[in-house]
Amino acid sequence: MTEQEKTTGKHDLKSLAGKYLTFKLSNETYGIEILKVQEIIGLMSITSIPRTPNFVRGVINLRGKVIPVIELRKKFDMETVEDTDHTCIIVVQVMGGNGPITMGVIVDEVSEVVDIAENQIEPSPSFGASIDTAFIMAMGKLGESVVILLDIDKVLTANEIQSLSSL
Amino acid sequence: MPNKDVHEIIEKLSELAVFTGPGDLQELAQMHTCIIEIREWAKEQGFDRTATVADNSADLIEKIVLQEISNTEEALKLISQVISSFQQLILTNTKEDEIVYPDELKKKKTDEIIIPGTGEVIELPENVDPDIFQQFIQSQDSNLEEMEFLLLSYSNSSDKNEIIAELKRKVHTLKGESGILGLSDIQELCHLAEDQIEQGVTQELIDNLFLLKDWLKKKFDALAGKGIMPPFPNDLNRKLKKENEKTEKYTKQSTEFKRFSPKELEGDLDLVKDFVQEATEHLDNCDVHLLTLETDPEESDALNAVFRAFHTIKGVSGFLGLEEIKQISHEAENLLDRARKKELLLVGDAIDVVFEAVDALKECVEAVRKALTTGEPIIPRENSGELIENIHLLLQGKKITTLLKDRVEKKKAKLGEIMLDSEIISEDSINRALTLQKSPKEPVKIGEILVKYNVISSKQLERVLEIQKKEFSNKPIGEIVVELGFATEEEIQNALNKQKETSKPPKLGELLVRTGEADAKEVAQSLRTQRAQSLVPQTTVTEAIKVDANRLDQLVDMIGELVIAESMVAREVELQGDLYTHLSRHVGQLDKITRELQLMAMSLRMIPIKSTFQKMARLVRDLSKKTGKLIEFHTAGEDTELDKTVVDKIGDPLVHMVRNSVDHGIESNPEERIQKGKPPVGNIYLRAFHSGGNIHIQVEDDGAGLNREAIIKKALERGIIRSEEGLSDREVWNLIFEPGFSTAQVVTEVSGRGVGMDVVRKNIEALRGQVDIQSTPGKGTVFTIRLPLTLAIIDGMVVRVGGERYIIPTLSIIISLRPTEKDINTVIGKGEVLSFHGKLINLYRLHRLFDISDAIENYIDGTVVVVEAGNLQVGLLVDEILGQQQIVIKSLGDALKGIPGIAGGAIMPDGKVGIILDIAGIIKLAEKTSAFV
Repeated sequence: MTEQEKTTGKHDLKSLAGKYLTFKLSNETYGIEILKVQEIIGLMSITSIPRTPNFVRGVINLRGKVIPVIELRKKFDMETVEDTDHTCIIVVQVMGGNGPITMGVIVDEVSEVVDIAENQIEPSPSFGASIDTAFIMAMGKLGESVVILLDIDKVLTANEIQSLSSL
Repeated sequence: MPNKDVHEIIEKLSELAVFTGPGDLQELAQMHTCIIEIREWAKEQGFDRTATVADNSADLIEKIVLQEISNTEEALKLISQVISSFQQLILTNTKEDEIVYPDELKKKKTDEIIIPGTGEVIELPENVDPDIFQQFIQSQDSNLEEMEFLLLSYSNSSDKNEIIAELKRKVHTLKGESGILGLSDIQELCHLAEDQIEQGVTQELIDNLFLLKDWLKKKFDALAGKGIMPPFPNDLNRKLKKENEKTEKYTKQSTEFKRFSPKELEGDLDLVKDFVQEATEHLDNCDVHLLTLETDPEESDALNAVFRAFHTIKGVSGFLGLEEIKQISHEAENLLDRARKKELLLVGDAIDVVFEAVDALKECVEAVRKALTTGEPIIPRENSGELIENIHLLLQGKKITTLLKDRVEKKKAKLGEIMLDSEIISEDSINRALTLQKSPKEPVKIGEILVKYNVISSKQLERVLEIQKKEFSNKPIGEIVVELGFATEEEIQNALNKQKETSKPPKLGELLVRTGEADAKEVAQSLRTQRAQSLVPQTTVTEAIKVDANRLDQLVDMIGELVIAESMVAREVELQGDLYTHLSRHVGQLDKITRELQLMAMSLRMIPIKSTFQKMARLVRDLSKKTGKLIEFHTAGEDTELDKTVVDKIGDPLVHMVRNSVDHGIESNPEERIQKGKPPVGNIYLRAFHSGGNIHIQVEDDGAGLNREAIIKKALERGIIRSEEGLSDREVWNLIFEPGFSTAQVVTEVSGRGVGMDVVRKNIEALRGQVDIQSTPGKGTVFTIRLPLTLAIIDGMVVRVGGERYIIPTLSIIISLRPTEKDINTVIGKGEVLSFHGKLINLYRLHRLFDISDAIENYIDGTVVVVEAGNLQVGLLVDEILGQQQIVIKSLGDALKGIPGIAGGAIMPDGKVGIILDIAGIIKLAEKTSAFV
């Protein structure tokens, strides 16, 4: 985390307590605030869009609405795998410049909804400049396992897609 | 005044300036006289600035004498400054422009009557010494406290007169000081309050003075930098004025019109919003009914409808405190009420003034709408006062001079036809009468008219004619008459109007009676029929519910989804074959219902184009008045329905086109038209109709037509074309849409068109439509706009590239072909071109642009789709064409907008998303990245 982000992007850890939808990417568990999640759908056929960044898988028809779908593995520079029966799309609402944007996020597997209490939350670790952790709000401890709490607004901002696509 | 005197005066003045102090009343009085003399001199010399400054200086001295200002030292300094400037001007012959006057005294008096409280946040009023200002503000706190004390003690005081006198002094001082400091709003209110106090103190006034004090407190705090600047207290202003008006109303002449001050919105904003919407509807309705009234001023249904509209608007606006709207509608209502009671006929000025009132109200409502969105005060119209006054005059039975007179006549069924139908006369007689009517009649000479109406004597006329013959053979008689002073211009104008009237062809009915083909009674009967027929047929009003457009769109979306889901189920059932006969029957039923639902959903967004056409009718009426051309406007197909967005957006281009037709299409000289064998009155037709799955809107005029030579000349000049060879008419006409043509003076002067035509094309293309022009020299021009039925649906060609499907809008496709080897050439080994219709066009491989593997590489194995954007054509290589279909366009959303080459998405029949290509974007992209292609 850079110096600037420490001052502006620091989350109040206490306010982060609440319900999270957890999902898996590879062998890591992530969590998204439940209020941001609109629905979970199975993988459907995705139309790819030319000249967009590689993590944009394409667009799907969500009951008449066309929404973009991004692949979290590619976004996080993780190794890509074939889609499985468990692969699914979490439809989230993120804040864009002109209001909320609905988009889909492809994850390996959706796990469950968990309640994370204040005392289970730890600040996100810093790995120096080598790993970008700006979109990690905090870490949640659930017994033995650790949940990475994602700031989904930061994971993919509309600006990011646009600026990349116009390259 | 001789210069010598001025020199003496200025010398005396400079002497005085040195010796005079604030207490030397006699000297001050002398200075005042001198300055006034200088002012008179300056006026004589035409030194306007100097005169104004002198005037202001004299006022300032007056104030010093009357001890109306506190800081007399400063004021005197200012005056000596001015006097030295005068010296410079008078003694050294410096030009007036070079003289520097103190800013404080430059202001023209009229400038001080600024509409108060225009919302500007003043830190410090202009042209004011900051020190004086500061002092003034600081002293006000205690001053206001004293004022409040006086007000409080008024009611239970024994010596009321003393309190009143004290109050008056305070208000008066405040008025004077604020006036000097440029606080015109304070000055105005204090002035009003002062007048009121003079007229006697009532409890109401005391209340108002409390309000005034409260406002002043806020105002001074704001000026001192504490708190927010309060808006001008319109209510208070009104209240204070009301009393004054009672006495002033009758003395005031109509030369000074009431001005409305800007006003904050108050009350429930939702109510205001509703009002804006309602009022707009009412006013739009008014237009139709007024056009009816114009043809038949006594049509009671229309009259009542207009009356009701004004009445409703008046009521609601009054309730909402929208003073300007209320007053205009109130006055108009009064006028209409008189008309309803048959005390007044709505013709001439009367109907014009009602039209004007409708326009004024539209503007007011628009202002309210603006205020609603911006949150700022409502900006009043400039001449509402004048309008109200005009209506007043009419109500008193006086003439209005400020309004224009000519009228546009509505289309009527021809009298001849009616008489034929009712078998009053034979076709032969009609034809005889018509030829008689058409046969050109020598217009009565202007000279004769002048003599006949005793404007000039016949001797004078002879002299004028002689002069005309001798000297100015081309000069109109009228001008010569005016020059010789035999008549005024106005009289000549009247005579000219009379000439026009008399040279009009005689009425058919009159002719028929005169030639004995029909008797007067029969003609009169037919005339009545004609009038009755020309009335707008009563439209039945169907009940409507207003629905939020977003909800409607959602509904339409969902129905679209339903259709797709249904077709998926239906296909599944079909695949099962005969296994489920019952099921397939039920699905068939479902299919029918969903299709109907889809049709209905489409129609939900459709509204008739009527409202837009009405606006055009109005436009032509106004334009023909302005240009003085006689024009009949005809519409057809007003009930044609279009997508609401299209109806809203088609207005602008139509305005341009109609304006062009009036301005440049119709000949300005009726003679010219008669020479070409056309009726003297120009015709403009506006039509809307369905044709070939599109909606067509036509603007036709029977004017001069486009001038091919002029357009080509202009295009050559501008370098838009290189030579005129091989250009078809259509190509030439299309040149007027080029942006360069829009400002072209030359073409418009040679009766070509051009103003704003590029705007027209752009707007229409944005609606996915096209414009076509047909023009015959001397006969007229037809503009045809072709629009898709709805914005949401386009015709698209579905193509396959590798494993991907893309949709190319059919509108941009010229042809698709399978090229042979000899059609394709390479340039510098890289760029490829295709010979197509004798032209060479660039070829691009879509799969390389979009980075798609497993697609056909070779042009010869695949299909080339020749597409066009702007004026550029290119060929795109695709694997194959899958078919053509209607496609519902969907935006890809905020996250994915602006991707080059992609216009949007569409839900394909299989439920997947298809990508719609943006051809212009693809060509741009291809040119940028052509190294890879």
